[in-house]
Amino acid sequence: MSYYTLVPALPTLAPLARLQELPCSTLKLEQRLSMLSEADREQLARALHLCQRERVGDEALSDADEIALWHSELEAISDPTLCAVIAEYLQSRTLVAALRYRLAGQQDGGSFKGFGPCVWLIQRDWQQPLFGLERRFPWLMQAREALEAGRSRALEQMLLERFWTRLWRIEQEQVFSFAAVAAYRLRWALAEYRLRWSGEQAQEYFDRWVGSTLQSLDPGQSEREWAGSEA
Amino acid sequence: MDNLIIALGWAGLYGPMALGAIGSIIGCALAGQAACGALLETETGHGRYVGIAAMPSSQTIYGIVVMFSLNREVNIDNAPGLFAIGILAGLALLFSAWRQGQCCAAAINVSKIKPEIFGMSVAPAAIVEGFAVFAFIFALVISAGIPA
Repeated sequence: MSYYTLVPALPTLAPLARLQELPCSTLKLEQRLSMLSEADREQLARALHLCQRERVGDEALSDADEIALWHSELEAISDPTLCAVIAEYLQSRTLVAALRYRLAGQQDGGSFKGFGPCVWLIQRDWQQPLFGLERRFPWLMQAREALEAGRSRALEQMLLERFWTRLWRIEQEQVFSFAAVAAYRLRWALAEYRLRWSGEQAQEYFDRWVGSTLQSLDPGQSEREWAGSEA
Repeated sequence: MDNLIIALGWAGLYGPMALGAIGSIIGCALAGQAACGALLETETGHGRYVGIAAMPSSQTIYGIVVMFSLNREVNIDNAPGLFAIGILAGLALLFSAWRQGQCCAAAINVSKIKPEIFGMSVAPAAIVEGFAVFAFIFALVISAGIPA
């Protein structure tokens, strides 16, 4: 379905690096998104749920439960473009989660749970610096360096920017499609999340939280502990 | 068989007008929807959005002119020629209006974000219009060779 009226009615989002504020309230945006069909609204809600970084109530989910949830939610999204971009995003989170687990001291990749076609490679090549995936995912090197240096915020920023750029491209490639509207709404959610960071305070909280989680980790607990961090 | 050929001749006679109008309906509707969306999000420049949304209407005018140039008593000798020129010119006008509507919608969408590129953003729609003009002019030229 095409949305020739809705797409021009969406307020312009500034580039992530220069984002100071949202162009209008989320309530106003949601009013405009009411032009979406019921089926597309449902798909969009699922996409937002999958890409939400701060979910309340899901902290106790194990990695296996979280991955099962990702699969079931993704299967319910029928738009192939949206499905592909979210799968790519979830895969990037899987890779970062694997790096974090290993940094936390997990010696064996056999119990690692993740999303995407690379999970078995991660499990098999757990001892390799980048799981042998550096050619396929060149950004993994940067991610590992950031994690090892304790620059969690820089890593988060990098992941956000990658996802943001991917979504922006979809908007340009399929201008008046549902995928474009969904990509815009996901960018909006990223912008909201980014603007909620309150500088030093957020950095301090995130570092403290990651530090405490890493310290408390042992391989047996790891699945449960990290479900929240990558959810 | 003769009746079928005569019917096709009439279809060719009315084809440019009807197909051009169908294209204009689709094109203007697409661009018009985009213009309505842009009105929600902008404070000024509303007139140009509505104006650009009307661009695909020209194909209907071309269709009318081609129809008049083809207009003659339809008989078994001229019906195939009328059909071929009329339907092909009509299809060209239909697709050009449709695609021009999409170009106009895209122009409205980008000039809402960056008003200074409005003129440039209309260029693709103008290029599509150029092809409609080719189809129109050469339909007129060729129609002179159809027996009266």
